[in-house]
Amino acid sequence: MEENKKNEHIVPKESLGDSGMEDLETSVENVAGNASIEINQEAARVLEDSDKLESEFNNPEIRAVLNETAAEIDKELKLVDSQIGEEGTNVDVNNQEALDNRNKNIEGMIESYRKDKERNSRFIEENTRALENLKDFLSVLVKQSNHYSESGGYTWQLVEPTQKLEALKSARSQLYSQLNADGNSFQQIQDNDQYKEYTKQLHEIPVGYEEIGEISGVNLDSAEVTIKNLNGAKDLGGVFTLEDALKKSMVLYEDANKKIDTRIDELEKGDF
Amino acid sequence: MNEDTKSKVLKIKKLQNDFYAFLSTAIKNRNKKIQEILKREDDKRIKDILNNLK
Repeated sequence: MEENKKNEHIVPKESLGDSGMEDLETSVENVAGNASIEINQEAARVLEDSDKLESEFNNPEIRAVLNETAAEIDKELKLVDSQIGEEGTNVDVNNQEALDNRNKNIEGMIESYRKDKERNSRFIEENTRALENLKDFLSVLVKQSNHYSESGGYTWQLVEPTQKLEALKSARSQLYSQLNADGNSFQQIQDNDQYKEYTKQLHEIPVGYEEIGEISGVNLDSAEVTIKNLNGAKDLGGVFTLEDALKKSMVLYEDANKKIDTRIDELEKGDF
Repeated sequence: MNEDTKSKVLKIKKLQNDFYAFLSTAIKNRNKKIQEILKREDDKRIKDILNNLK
């Protein structure tokens, strides 16, 4: 809840006073454009925190509260954004400077939306590759890890060990007990050909950190496997098969891209 | 800046600040509701533990 306490004190970025207004060469369109971007960013930040809370608690009642709040924020955001848009777009058509500024703002917003779309599309591509790279693991259950991956996205964590991992662990452990009972020293056990083979196979499971979708870490004690560099959908909660998780994540990014396309279309047509 | 422009800019700023105030209130209400849910669950858990001790 610490992160949310921060949000309770959203400080308006600019006061209502008119200090500095005189040196504003700024047009109404500039002010409206900036205000629109800022309120959208602020709302997005709050909604992102809601997603983190949902993951943290994974509680249906809390999820309902979060969804209700998100819907209220979304509704208010649309209303205020459109009111700001009305003020900002009601420009004097004879004022070339005002028109130029408005066009510049619209171009800026479109550019920003296009960057978001590029990022979402990259996540979709990564998940597509992951579906192929991880085809042997698609039926295992995963949950969204609380840790961010180094690439900035979420990681997926297997909540059940793979059969192969479990079988190897068990076989190696039994062999260790057997060799130990036969009076072998620790070093002799480590040098045993079969024991070395099991160890080698276990170490073959984590195969590097660089490639997207590769398994990057295996904890033999907890039989957990962490998959790094997979960007998951931030509002997915609960447990899924890895295949489901990847596909659901892609659907969410695809939906987000459709909304971006609609918004870009509206901006290009001047329909605010 | 002419009066009309000034008035529009002030109106936009007010809309923006009103939205921030709305967000603050929405977050406070949300957090309060979550805290109530968590407290209720804690109370229930404590009650269950005490019942088991009897």
